[in-house]
This record gives sequence, C-alpha cells and structure tokens, in this order.
Amino acid sequence: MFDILRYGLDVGEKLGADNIEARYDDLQLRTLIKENQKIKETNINRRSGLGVTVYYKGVSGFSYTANLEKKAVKECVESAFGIAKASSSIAKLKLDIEKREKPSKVHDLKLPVKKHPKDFDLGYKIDLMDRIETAALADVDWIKSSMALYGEFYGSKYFMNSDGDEISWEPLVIDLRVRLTAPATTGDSLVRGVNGLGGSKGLELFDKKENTPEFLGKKTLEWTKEQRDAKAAPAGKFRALCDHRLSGVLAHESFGHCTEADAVLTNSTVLKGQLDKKIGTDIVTIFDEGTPDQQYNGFWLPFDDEGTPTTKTVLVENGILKGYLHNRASAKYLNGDLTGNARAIHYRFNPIPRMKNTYFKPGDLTEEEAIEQLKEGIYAIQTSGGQVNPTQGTFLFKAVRGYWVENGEIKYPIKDVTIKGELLALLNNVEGLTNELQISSGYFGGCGKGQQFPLPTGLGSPMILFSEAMFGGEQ
Amino acid sequence: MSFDTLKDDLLSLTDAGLKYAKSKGAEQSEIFVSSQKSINVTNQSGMINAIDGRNEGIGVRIAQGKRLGFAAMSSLTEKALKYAIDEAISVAKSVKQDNEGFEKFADKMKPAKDGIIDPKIVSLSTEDIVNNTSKSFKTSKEFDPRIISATAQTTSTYGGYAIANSEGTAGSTSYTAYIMVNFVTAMEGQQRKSAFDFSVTRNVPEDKSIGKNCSEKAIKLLDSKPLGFTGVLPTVWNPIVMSSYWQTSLANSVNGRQVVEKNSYFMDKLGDKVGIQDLTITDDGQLPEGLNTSEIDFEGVPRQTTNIIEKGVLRSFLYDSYYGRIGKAKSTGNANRGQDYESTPGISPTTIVIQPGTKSFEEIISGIDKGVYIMDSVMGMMHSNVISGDFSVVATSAYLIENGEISHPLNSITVAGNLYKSYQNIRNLGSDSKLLPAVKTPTIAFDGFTVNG
Repeated sequence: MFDILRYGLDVGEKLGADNIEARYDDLQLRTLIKENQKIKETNINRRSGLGVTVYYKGVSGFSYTANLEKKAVKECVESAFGIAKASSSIAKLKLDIEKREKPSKVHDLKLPVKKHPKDFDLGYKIDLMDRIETAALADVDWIKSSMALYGEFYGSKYFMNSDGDEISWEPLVIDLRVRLTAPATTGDSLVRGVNGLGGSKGLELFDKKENTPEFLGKKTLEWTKEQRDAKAAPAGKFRALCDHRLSGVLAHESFGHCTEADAVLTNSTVLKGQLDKKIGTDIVTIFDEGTPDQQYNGFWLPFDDEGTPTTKTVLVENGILKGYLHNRASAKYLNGDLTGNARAIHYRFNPIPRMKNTYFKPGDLTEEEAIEQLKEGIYAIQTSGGQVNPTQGTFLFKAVRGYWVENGEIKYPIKDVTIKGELLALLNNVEGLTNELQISSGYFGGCGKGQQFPLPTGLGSPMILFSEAMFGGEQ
Repeated sequence: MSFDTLKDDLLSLTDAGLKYAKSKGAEQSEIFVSSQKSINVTNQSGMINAIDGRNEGIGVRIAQGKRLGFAAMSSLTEKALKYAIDEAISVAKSVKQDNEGFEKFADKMKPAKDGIIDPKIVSLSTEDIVNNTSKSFKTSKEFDPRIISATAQTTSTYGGYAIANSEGTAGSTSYTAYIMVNFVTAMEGQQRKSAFDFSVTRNVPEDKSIGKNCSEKAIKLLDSKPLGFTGVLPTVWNPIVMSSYWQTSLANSVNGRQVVEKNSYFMDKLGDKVGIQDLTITDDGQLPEGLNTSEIDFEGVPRQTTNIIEKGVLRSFLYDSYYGRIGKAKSTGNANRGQDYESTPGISPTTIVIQPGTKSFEEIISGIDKGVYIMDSVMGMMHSNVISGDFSVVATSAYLIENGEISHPLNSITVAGNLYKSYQNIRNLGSDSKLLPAVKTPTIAFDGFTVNG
C-alpha cells in the first residue's frame, strides 16, 4: 500500500509542491438496526480511498479518489496541486508547516483486544441487539416502540508525507444502543428512554457484569418508566449537578470546540486571546487525549490524519487556559505545541482541527456528597446532544432526564430539559467534581463540524456541581 | 465518465450488476450507483480550505426470501461492483431473521422529470470557484470594520445516479447545483452578533450579493438591549430560520416510517384539521429549481408533488415503497439515501414548499403591537422533542417589534412552544418566499409562543 502513496508523493513533488501528504483508508463499517424486535438494517460498507493534501506557498489543496490505479492517483494529486495553486494568490492567511524533525515509522499499530469484531459473525452481533431489546421491553405492555442498534468500524489507515512519516494503524469502535418510546401516564405526550455503550473495545466489553445487554436494557426500562410520571423541570437559574455523560458533552460542545485552533486563526472563538488567563474556578482542569487509559471507553487515536502522534493535551489547568487544539499549520502560526488534532472523517475530506478525547479531571466528591452539596436545584442526567456557537461563546444542550433536589435529597423525576449559557461564565461556576471519571465514545452520533459528520470522538467527565446554570423554557 | 453520457454510463453499470448478482444466485437484487463531482471552497477570514474531487460508489441490496443484505463500496470499478454484490449476498444468507415487511424492491414505473440542468456548472474551473468565493468573502468582510469574522463557502457540484432492480426498474437522473453560504459575526464592545445567508440554485447564479446582505444584517443587530419580559407574544420568523422550523416539525411527524412505527405526532390525524385555513404544504419533488428534484427517487420510484397539508387539513404522509406497503399507502417518491451509495433508502422530504400568503413583511410587522422578530438561526431547534413537539430555542439574532414597527435589536431570548400545535396559531404567512436547501418558505408569524429574555 505504501507503494501507491509513494507514487502520489513523487507526482506532487515533481509538480513543485512544498510538501505533500497522502493517506489511504480502508475501513469496514457495519450498521445493524432492529425496530420493534424486527430486523430492519444489515448494512456492510467498505469505504476505501486515497486523500491527498498538497502544500504550495502557504496554502493547501485537497483532492481524493476511490480508484487506486496510477492514472487516477496522478489526476488526484494534480487536482490537489491545482486547487492549492489557484488559492495561493488569493489567501490572505498563509499557513506553512514546520518540517518534521523526527518522522514516525510505525506499521500495523493496533489495540490488543480479546474479541475483535472482525472475528465474529453478524449473528453474534444481532444476538447482542436481541438481548438488549428483550431486556428493555421485559414483559410490560405500555411500551409504544423500541429500537436496538449495533454499529462497528475497523480497518486500516495508511499515511505518508514528504517529511518521511510512514504510518499504518488500525482504528476500532463498537457500539450497542437501545431506545424506548412510551406514552406519559397523563396527557398525550410521549417520553423516551435511551441507553448504550461503546468505545474502542473488543466485544468482551459486553461480557462485564455491569455492561451486559441485559443490564443495559433493564436500566433503560427503569428510566423510561420513571419518565412517564416525570414533571416538567422548572425554568430559570438553579444550582445544578450534571452527570458524567452530560458533563462530558459539555466538555466537548461548550468548551472543546472553542479551543480548536482554526477558530482562533479565523477570529471565530471567544477563547482567542484568553491563553494563560483564568477562565474557570481553581478546580477546573481539562484534557484532550489521543489514547486514554484502556479502563475507560474512549476513542483510541494514536496518530492524527497528518501523521502527528497524539498527545495528552492540557487545555485548562486549575482554571487557566493553557492551549489550543492544533493541526501542523496552526501550531506553527500560533507558536503552539503539536497536539495531534488534525482529523478527517474519511478520505474524502481534508484534516481540520478536531477533538480527540476531551474530559474534565475528576475531583474528590462522592455522588452522595455532590447531591448533598447541591442542596436545592436540578440534577440533570444524560443528553440527546447540544450545540455551540464558538464565535459568540453561547451553548445549549438537552438533558434527557433528571431529578429535582431539595435539602440535599432527590425529590421527584423531571422531564427532558434544556441547559443553556455562556462558555466564559460556565467554567467559573464549577463548584465541585466527583471522584469517578467516565469516558465514552461510539459509532452512532459523533461530532459534527462543517460537513464532516459524524467523527468519533471521546468525551468524559466526573459529575460536575455548578453553582448556577440556566434551565428551561419548556411548557 | 463525462457528464453528457453519465446517465447512460451509470445505467449500464447497474445492468452489469444485476446480471452478476443473478449469476451468483441472488433471488432479488437492487443495484444503486452514483457519481458526484464537487468543488467545495471555503474562505474563512482569509484562510482558504478547498476540496476538489469525485465521490463514486455502489450500494447493493439483495433479498433471499425475506432476508435482506446491504453492502456498499466506494469507486465504480468492476472489483467494487463484485465486492458489494458478493458481500450483500453473503449478508442476506447469514441473517437468521426475516425482514417481515419486505416483499420486493420498487416496481417499474414511468419516470418523472429532472430539475434544471446548467451545463455551465460542469465547465467551471477550480479557479472560478476560488475567485467567486473570495469575492463574496471580500464584500462581506470589507462591509464594515466591526465584522470580526466572515466566512464564505461555495459548493459547485454535478453528477447523477442510476438504479436498477429485479422488478424491471431501471432509471437514472442527473443534476447540477451551485450553493453559496455566507456567515459573519460583528462585534462592538463585548457584544457579538451573527448572521448568515444562503443562495441555492441549480444553475450558476447571476446575483452573488449575499455577502453584503449578511454583513448588513449582523451590523444592524449590534447595540441590542434586553427584552425584559416573560410571557406570550407574537413572533415573526424569517424564511432562513423557518427553514429549520419546518424541517424539524415535518421530518419526523409526516415520515411514513415514523407513522408505521407509531412515533409520529400526526400518525392518527389524517383528514383532521391540523392548521389554519391558509396553511398549504407540499413536498415538491418536481420543483424545477429544487435541489432534490429528479426523475426518480433513490429506489427508482418517480418523484412527485405530494400535498401534505391542504388548507389546514392533513392529507398525506411521505413514503418509500417499503413503508408505503406496510402503511397501506403508495410510495410518494420520497426514498432518499442520507450518505448516498453508502446508505439504504430511507424516507425524507425533497423540497418542502409552503404556499405563500398575501401580506408583505412590512404589513405583517405593522399588525403587531408588541412582538419579536427572529432571524437566521436559533440554537436548539434540532434538539426539540419531535415526538411531543415541545421546543425551546435560544434566539441570538432578534428584534423587538413595537407599535407596528421594528424597534431595536434584542439580547438573547428564549422562545418556547409546541411545533405541531403552532400550525393552528399561525397569524400570517408572508408573500415573500425563499428557496433553501430543502425548504421553500415565506416569513411566518405565530401567536402563542412563550418568550423570555
């Protein structure tokens, strides 16, 4: 495979490229979906192709091809060179890359897993879905509809550039989910329950007692049942406790996107000019890491799509903003460290600054202590997603469920609720963090930026106690 | 493959696929192939990000009895075609459960019409797109020094797809499109205000002025003040923000799959009055300028114009052939593939067209004593509860309406209500209409939403 990449580099260098990168993905994706206990999708997708970035006079051009014959590869490189050349006289912001001092030569890097999904047939995976859905439905008669999903991707990624990097590695993600819909006990509205588990893991992930499809399904049913009688959350400013999952999305959506260096370069983030400034309370420390410890369910990313080895990047340390997430060009321009954040969703896109696994460092509270310290407010749990405008620093996301807490005790369940606010205020309202970190990632959902969606990223957090958060508006 | 012969070239590939599948023992098969060339240029504050390439691939569905398999592979080589067919057959054979709703792939039918095709798009060079994008960026960035960031993006694309199946369906379609998006942020003091604008055409547009419009909108939004009010007020939504409103409120509720699976708010309301008398909504797969207009949908069924809501009465849901059969309705030609050849067909609208009303924007505003005008984008629309219809969004680009006039820009406000019940609370439909990527809508004024800010 490296031969054809080498050929592409030669073509580009002859054309006069200052630097050229060629990467080849050969990925297998599987999507299995059951709806109301009936199989609906059994999809196999092989996504393989070549993407080429050409650097020319401070501008880059990108092209791709799924056809690996020499003629097609040559055309692809010429096209990338042509677009860089056309842009070079117009671009106001010139971005070069620093020559790599120590290129990497790494072949066939992979995670050691016990049950690699490629060694298990579809039947095994459909059985996981059957188990989670059956457990979620139990024998109750009030569920309106159910859905079980299983997804995986694995394969090989090859990378080569003019600097001498020569890398191949094998990404891996699996994901199992279940969703229930049920009528509320009063009124005509429907409620939802969702649960799932995924990460860069082998299928042994679901063998652990607390991760079995039966356990995950049973929890979903409990939560859905509780939602049927839940009250609407009150609207307004309250003290708040956010669970691991919701806090993780907060780390990613409301904070992480604002640290992506392309946003800094283009004046599109409120965190521009905030380096070494205090943006949060002393207990706030946030990392973005490529290969988090395997005890967590993060996304394993040893190299980014520019061949840079990923690091454990300190974004915030004790409340002070310490860095941004870079690709090679932004690191040079902004004089930052190479963090390994240049990522592309697949071979048809060029790498841009994206997150790896973004998470809050845990604190010292137990869950009980956190609820007690919350005293009165909203305990918000799980999320169906969020949205951020990094230029304005505003964010909004949705908790799936939660509880109203009074006198440090859980009083009653609440419906899904919106949380919104401003990034620069948010981290200053962190009052406490629990001591248990969870990191998650998966095949379904994922991060979107521009047209590149969904990119697997990991996100995580302990539970976070906020002195104030803005909720609501639901009727 | 050249654009002139693309439809035929793709069709002959599907034919080769059907023959190969049959020779490998496939009982029923469907071969989808597509080729899309696009040049995508973004100029973000002077930084250029440009992609030029051709996305091609094959997606194959095979049925052995009621057991279905799907496999896809990038590229249009013979190797890829055989790989996808072999894999799909192997999946169909290894699946242990029937897909009970399945009987056959889409029936052979007479194709509808393609939308506008502009050969000029095919001959545009990379330089043309880079230059056009930079012009658009410049007009928007240089409009005012308070514009702190500006992004101009152009996508120029053309291509086609073909589909053939064992029921005798064999069709192909082609398209050209030119899409421009501008996004700007203006800043004064600590205030930041954003605005954006679209131009969506199937031909090379003559008017490229969206950069200026966009900056003008953002500058005017500066110096905003708090609303200082909580309660129910009339709200007026411009076409850009209405586009996401309609998509959110219709994508799930009139989707035949969600109706069959009982996840739709409207599922048992066919024939009921769900909106005001003036509300007529169609899904128009034959709108000549619509981006999703084509001879056939993504499983080979002709595109059509479907009345979803007619004079306030719910008339039809949107179906593909699979859910049409289960839902005891016909396919409405709404099979789409979200990730092109990488996806199986699913149901989604083509272009949702809201029939415009008679009042101009000024007339709508002049009829409101106190209200709010919302522009461009709100946060949280896509996180609405599409089952119950409850939504709560944050509008960062909004104005106060006082005594029949636009008064002053507002700080962020929250707007909450119910997507579906709001159809009965439409106060006015504007006479203006704007085409966006999947919606053509006028300005809409609603009563009954709770506003807080």
